[in-house]
Parts: sequence; C-alpha cells; structure tokens
Amino acid sequence: MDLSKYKSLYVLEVGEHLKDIEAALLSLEEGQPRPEVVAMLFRHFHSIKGMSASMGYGVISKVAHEIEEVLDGFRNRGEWPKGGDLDLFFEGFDALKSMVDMVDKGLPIRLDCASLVEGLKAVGNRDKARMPEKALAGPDVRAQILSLPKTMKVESGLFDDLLAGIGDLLTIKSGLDKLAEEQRNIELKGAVCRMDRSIKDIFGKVLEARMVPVEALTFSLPRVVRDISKARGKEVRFSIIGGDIKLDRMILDAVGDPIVHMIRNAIDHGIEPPDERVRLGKEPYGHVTMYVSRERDCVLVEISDDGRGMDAGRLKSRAVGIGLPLEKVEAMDGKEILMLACLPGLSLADEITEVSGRGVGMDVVKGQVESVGGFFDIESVPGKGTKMRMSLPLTVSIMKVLLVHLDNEIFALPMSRIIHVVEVGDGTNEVSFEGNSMPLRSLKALVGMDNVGGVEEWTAVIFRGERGQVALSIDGGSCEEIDAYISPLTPPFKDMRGISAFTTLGDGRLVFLLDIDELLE
Amino acid sequence: MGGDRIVLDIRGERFAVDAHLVEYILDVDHFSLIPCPPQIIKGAISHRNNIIVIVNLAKLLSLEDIEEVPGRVVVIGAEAGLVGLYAGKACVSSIWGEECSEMAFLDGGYDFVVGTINPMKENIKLLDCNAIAAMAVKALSKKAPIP
Repeated sequence: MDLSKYKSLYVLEVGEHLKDIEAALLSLEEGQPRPEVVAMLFRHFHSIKGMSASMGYGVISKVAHEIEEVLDGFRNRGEWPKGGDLDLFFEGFDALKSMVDMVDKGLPIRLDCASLVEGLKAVGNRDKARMPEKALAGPDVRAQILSLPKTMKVESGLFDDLLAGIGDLLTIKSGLDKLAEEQRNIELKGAVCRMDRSIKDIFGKVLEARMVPVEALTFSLPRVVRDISKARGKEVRFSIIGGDIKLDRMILDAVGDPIVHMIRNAIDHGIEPPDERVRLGKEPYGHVTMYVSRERDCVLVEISDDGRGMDAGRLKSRAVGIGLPLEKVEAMDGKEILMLACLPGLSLADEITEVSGRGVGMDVVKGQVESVGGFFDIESVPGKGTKMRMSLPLTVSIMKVLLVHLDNEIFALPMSRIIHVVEVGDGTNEVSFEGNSMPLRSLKALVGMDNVGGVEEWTAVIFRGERGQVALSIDGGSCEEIDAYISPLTPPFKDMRGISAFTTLGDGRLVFLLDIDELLE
Repeated sequence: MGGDRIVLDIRGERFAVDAHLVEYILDVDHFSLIPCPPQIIKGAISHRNNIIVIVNLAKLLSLEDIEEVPGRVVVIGAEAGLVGLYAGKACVSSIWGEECSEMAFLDGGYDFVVGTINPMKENIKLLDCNAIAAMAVKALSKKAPIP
C-alpha cells in the first residue's frame, strides 16, 4: 500500500501531539506536577507510536515506545518525572521532532537514538538512575526557530459557509450582469468581468479544498467485507479500483452508508456459499468489486458481485405482496423490475439476519444518492451477478443547470442529466435520438401548467431518466445554461413532490430544480 | 388570547393573525410555480435563501379568488415553519391587544379560524396560523394525493 500520500496528514497529526507534549512537559517543569499530565503524555506518545508504526517509521515508533514505557512506570506509581528524568523526556521530544521534520522534508530518517533509548531504559528500570552523558545530540537551542506547519486543520463547516458566500456572490454578479447589459456601461462590464474571474478563482480553490479521495472513506471496507463474509460463511475477494478519484466531502459523506449497505447486500444475497459456487462451476470465492470512475462532470461508483444475481420473479411477487397492483408490475420492463428492490419495505431476504433482510435499506440507499443530486440504478443477470451504480455529482452547491423558461415560469434541470437538446416540429409525439425512439413529454403538463399550443417548432431536451432516456418538450419556451448556487430543500418543505432543490436568480426570483423522475411517475 | 393582531381586509371580510407570529410583510410581484400545486397554494418565493410557500387565503377561506400581482404576503413563523399568507392588495392594519381582548370561539364554518374578536364592535376572524401552516406542509408532501 502506498502510504506516501498520507505523509502530510501524518506530519500534521504528529505535530499536534508534539505540540501538546511540549506544553505538558513544560507544565511539569514549571512545578505543576499532576498525575493526569503523565497520563495525558502517555496517550500522546502512544498515539505517535501507533501512527509511526503504521506509516513504517520504525525509529520514531521505537523512541515513542521507550518513552511510553517509562511514563507507564511513573503513571503506575502515581509519580511524575522531574529533574534529570524530565530532561531526558525533553531530549526524547527533540529527537521525535527532528525525525518528524525529516519525514516532512522527505529526507531519510538519520538520527542516532541509541544513547537516548539506553537512557530511557535506565530510567525505566530504576536500578541505575544514570543519565547518559549525552543522550542525544539534540538540536542546538540557538539554532531553533519558530515556524508554523504548512498545512492546517479547519472545521469542514467553514467550507460550507465559504461556498454559501460564493453562492451569494454569484447571485449578486448575475444581477450586476443584467445591469451592465442594460446600462451599456463599458467600465461596469469590465468590473463585472473581473469580479466573475475572481469568484470563479475562489470557487475553484474552495471546491478543491472540499475534495476528498474516495479511499479516505473506504479504507475500512476490507475489514467490513471480511467480517460480513466470515459471519455468513462465505469467501469473498474484495477490491477497490479508482479509490484515488476525488469527490466533494459532503457527497462522499452522504454515500458512506449506502456503499456499506450495497456491499452487505452483495455478500449476503449475491455471493453464494463456497460449495454452491463450486457446484455451479464458479470459483469457491466470490468477487465483490467497487469501481470508481469519472464520467463528464459525474463520478460513477459501481458495486458489483459475481454472485447469483437478482430474482426478477421474486421481486415482482414481493412487490405485489406489499401492495403494488399486479397489472402495474406485469407491465414493467426488466430495469423497472430491478428498481422494485428500492421500494420501501421490500426485501428479498427469506430470513432476517444481523446483516440484512429487514426491508429497510435499498430505498434509503436510493434516497441518499438522490438527496445529493445523484442517480441510482441496478443491473443484474441471473447466475452472473449484480451491479449497483451510483452516478454522483463531483460537487454540491454550485452546479450547472439548464434554466427552462415556460411562459412566466422558470425551472431548472440538472445539466448532468441532460444528454442533448434538439429541435422538433409541431405535432411530433416521438423523438429519435442515437437510434432510440422515445415519447415526447410536455414539461408544461408535467408541472401542471396549461399548454396553449400553436407553436410550430419546439425545443426538446433528451433527459437521462431513472427508467431510461426521455424527451421533454419545452413547449415554445427557451433554455439557457448557468452555474447556479443550489440550496437544498429544508423543513418543513423538505419533501415537495417533483422538486429536488432550489436556486435564487440575480433578480431574487426563486427557481426550483425539478425532479423529473418523480414528475414522470 | 390577548396580544396585538395584524388585520387583513380580504373581499370585504376582516381576518386577523397574532402579531407575534408575523415575521415579515412583503410586497411580491412574482410567485414561482410549485409543480402540480394544490389549489390553495399560490406559489413560493425565496427570502433570505429560504423557501416560503404562499397559501392563497381567499381559496383557503372559500372567498372569491384574488389575483392581484404584485400582492401582499404576510409571512408567519408558525410551529411548522415559515409560511406566507397571500392577501392580494388587502389593506393591512394592526390592532392593540387591549382592543381585542374579547373573543368568541366559533363552532364551525371555518376550518382555519379560531374565533372572532370584536374590537370596537367589528367582527374580525382570528386565523389559526399553525393549522394553516400544517395544512400547507401536508398538502405539498409527497405523500399527499396528486391534485
């Protein structure tokens, strides 16, 4: 495993521990001896030991371990180091700091700590309270300089606030854009243009700061897979491909539980027990793969398994069992049947296990993905396996939308779901695109507006819906693409039908981001 | 049931809301359409990055509809959240609590009226803002039947 990418985080974390250690040692030296200070010092050195061992910095781990051992003795006796013992701790601290600095600068860790370790052991044994003549050639006090770390930790909420501030700026800029257009003032136009560049620059930086690699979330998944497969008597080989792809922290946070849930489902329901797999001519161990990739302005996260696949017949009967009309279920195509797994209360499990089968989960998975502007679908082949796919926006809050003007109303559609915009003639009921023929649905009708008609040529938007592509007619209206600051719906109007979020235009006008899939239902 | 009240004159009738519930009174010239809205919902506006759903008081109270735009919106901070009451070009005034201490509860006829208050012998119906807001939330919920 390549740990070098975690180096800066290691340096940052250890630096914080060292900072606290230094303060604690000073408080002991200043005559504020308290047993709890010793316990606190113990915890800090213990953390440094663990982190250093994980990163492969053996010498640092060894020194931290020796200090920890000595502190343990003090802690057990209810005492604290003083005098020469305390000097030794300071020297240990200096050694650790020097070595962490070497890590930070990318230098090999070259520090002779033998005499320091010897001295610590001597104190620890208490048989020879002998101080080594010079435990370590520590840094020259006169040469020490004060410096701040290059990286710093801040509350992630600060970035949310920054993004909200940029959203406000975008709204103001949009208003100024219009004003500059109306006034025909070249200076105003120039100022708005410069403002636009600055906002985009800040926006880019803030977005970058919010981006987190997927593996930051998934590093513990192998353990989860191991535990679940062991509990269910299955053998599973798990792999993650594309874990270095970055996503907005808020989106990644929202899909953490859905990812775990899908992997649990794959192991519990998908992967067959080893003897069954052998009987079917498969390898005794199943494969569960998490594949992350970039596609346009989205990130695709696929969880696939090579298990038994989903049973469409059972899905249909369970759906009818929980109250879906039989005729509606019978009219569904293959993809729609698979999506029945996302109905609240529907479970394919025959027994309730601690892992799954309570009929809660896939509906929550789908809801979570959609709550961040994503898209969820399922592919499954009986006997071959199942693939669950989340299509997630790279960032939240500011996204490209298509503003659709319909008479006096304006609605927004997410650009990530728009495949193409075409012109269609009056009286057209169907649109052909890339060999697919699809019915033309009136957006006005979908939102409940009257359609006056009389328009000879319409714009149609080919929209990637949950159940395949759909053509939406703009009914004589017009479209424009903008970067919009998107705000989520908040209580009490959090679950309005056909709306997933909203934005405010420069003139203060409220525009709803439509949930086309829901409107089509 | 004391306290100051804000009074709205709509279609010749007078309605009051508790003044302490009133967050803003706004003149609005455009209401954004909520997809497939129930009849009693006029639309929505954005105010300080919050969505405020607007209830059409005339429709709610079965009065002759009002379509004046720009129109006046009384935004109330109800238990359920912020909800706007659209009152068209209604005259908005206020009365002191001391003037309207007497109130008679109504037995029926209006679902969203708590009772009548008679300051200076006028018949003013006191609106149940919490019930109106709760109704608006329910009407716009995904679980509500499609109008």
